[in-house]
Amino acid sequence: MDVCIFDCTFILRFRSFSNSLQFHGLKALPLSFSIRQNAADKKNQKRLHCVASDGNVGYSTSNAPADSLSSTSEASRLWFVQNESSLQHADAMSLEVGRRVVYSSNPEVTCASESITHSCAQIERELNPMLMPRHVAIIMDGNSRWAEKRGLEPSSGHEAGLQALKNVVGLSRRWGIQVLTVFALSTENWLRPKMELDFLMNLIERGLQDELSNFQKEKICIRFIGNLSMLPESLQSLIAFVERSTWYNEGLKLIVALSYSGRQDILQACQLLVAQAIDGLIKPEDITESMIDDKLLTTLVGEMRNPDLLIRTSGERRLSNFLLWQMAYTEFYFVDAFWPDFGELDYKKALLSFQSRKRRYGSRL
Amino acid sequence: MGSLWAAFCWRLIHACLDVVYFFSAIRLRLLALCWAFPFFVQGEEACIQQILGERKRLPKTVAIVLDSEEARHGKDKVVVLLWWLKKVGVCHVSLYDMEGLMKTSQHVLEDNYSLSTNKAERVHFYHHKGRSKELIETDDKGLSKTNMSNLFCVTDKTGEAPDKHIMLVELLSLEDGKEAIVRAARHLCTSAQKMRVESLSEADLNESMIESGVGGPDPDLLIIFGAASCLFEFPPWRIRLTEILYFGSLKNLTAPSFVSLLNDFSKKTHRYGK
Repeated sequence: MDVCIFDCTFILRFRSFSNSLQFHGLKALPLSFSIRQNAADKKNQKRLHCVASDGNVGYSTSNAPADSLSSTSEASRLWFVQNESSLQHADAMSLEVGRRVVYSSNPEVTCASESITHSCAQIERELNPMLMPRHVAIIMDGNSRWAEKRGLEPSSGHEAGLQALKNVVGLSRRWGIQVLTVFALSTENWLRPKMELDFLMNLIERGLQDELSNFQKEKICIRFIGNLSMLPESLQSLIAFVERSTWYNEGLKLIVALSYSGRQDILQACQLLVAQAIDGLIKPEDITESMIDDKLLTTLVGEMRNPDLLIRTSGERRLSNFLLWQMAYTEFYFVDAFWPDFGELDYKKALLSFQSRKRRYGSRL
Repeated sequence: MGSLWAAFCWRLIHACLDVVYFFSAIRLRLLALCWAFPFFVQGEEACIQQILGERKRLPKTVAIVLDSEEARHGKDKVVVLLWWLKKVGVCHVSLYDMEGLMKTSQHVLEDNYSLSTNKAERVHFYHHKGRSKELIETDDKGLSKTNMSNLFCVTDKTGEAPDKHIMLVELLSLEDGKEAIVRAARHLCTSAQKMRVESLSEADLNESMIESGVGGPDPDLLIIFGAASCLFEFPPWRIRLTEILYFGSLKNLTAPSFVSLLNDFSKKTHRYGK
């Protein structure tokens, strides 16, 4: 296991550095915390240990003695960079000072806190489960620009975007979000070069095949909305198979919008109702908002069809034809990071921002 | 000795970074002061003229979404905002609040606007009333009502008013949002035949909304004023590619902050999915 400890401020200042670490399969864990130690602790403490769940000591600060680390300021911040494979049990990462656990990502572990504040440990605990949005929608924008910035092909950006999506799905499940809708491909995206589109279709196929067992294990119910008839037949068959396989899963509902258009969604709902009216099943004056609501493609998640929070990456502040009808009272959170860079910390910030807002649904306080 | 040297180098790197960030922060503050300087010296007019002189990409159609509090207490500021929008060349403004307070205060808006601005810079306020649109002009001759049923067709396609000196202000409320789509769907029932239903297109639904008297141009920019960063059921059909900016309270809006919104808008690029 390769573990390196870097000063967090260094990482934050050189964000591209941490991004390049991620690209090369290393992951920076944002274990940011403050240590205030009394004189006795300073005297007795020799080193800081990063302990992974398998009991191995990852790294010690022997090259940077604890004395110097604690004396820099009470706000020493450390990031732990680990090889991806050793993060499988990341839930049980802990940090010890001497023999005392000062931070643990496992909330059930009691941490020594008399003279130590661990701000990072509180980040996850700051997410109030009672205020968690039930339905989060994400416009995953910026894959191509992420790749262009690194001098890579767009395909690398889409690969990295898929990894980011897997991460966000895992986090959503962990944090109790019930519905996650992601905008994977819009009808306008069909204007992209054929090579890129072919790669995207292959990537989606591979992603579904690789993750199907995980969906079953994590009880994720996956559904697809959009004009699926424009997709290759092999992908359409796979989508149908995956939907059937996960139909009765009761965990996170993951809705993937593929070849989707918000206006087309409204139009097809109106078409269905107009057809019923022409057939005499309903009268034109019977058509109401809730009837259109029930005919939209998002009706499959029932009362949670309207997102509580929309996150869009890459700095753009548009809906881009995504869930137009459903966004009437959705809180917006726009973030500048490109989608492949959107990680746990960004997601937490978005959720914390949502939790701090007073939702009024148009009424007066 | 080696570890001391490493620690020294580590701290030297951070010291250099601190210096760089310090001067960067100073530079940003100076830039902000320089940018706001014309406002302090010459007032709002100079601030607005500055952005016009920079020839940036500016919106032609703007939507303003007000929550209930802002709509209730911010009418004076709305008038000022309309004047600024007129100055920067916006030709169509959709002014929306859920409860329709802007619609019921139409006369107040018109009076305040005509009192506070040059009457030569005319603004037409209008709102949709079912199938007909009533247009009220703010001019010296007093209030007059003109039915201009084909006015919307012009603004829908180009966003331009019939007269380039006129800015159109469309007053919207909840009934012009999802309910408008419902009315359009009902209208389609009477005009569509079964064989045509499957071939109905977005243009057909759009046309139906126009014929129902509830159509309007898609705004380039939508600004939300209020406590919540959400749309409050602004007409969903129109915001497909609209830039959405959230400002906060209307009372905090100043000429520099308005120009800042326009600067943000001008930096955005549309790739239209490509």
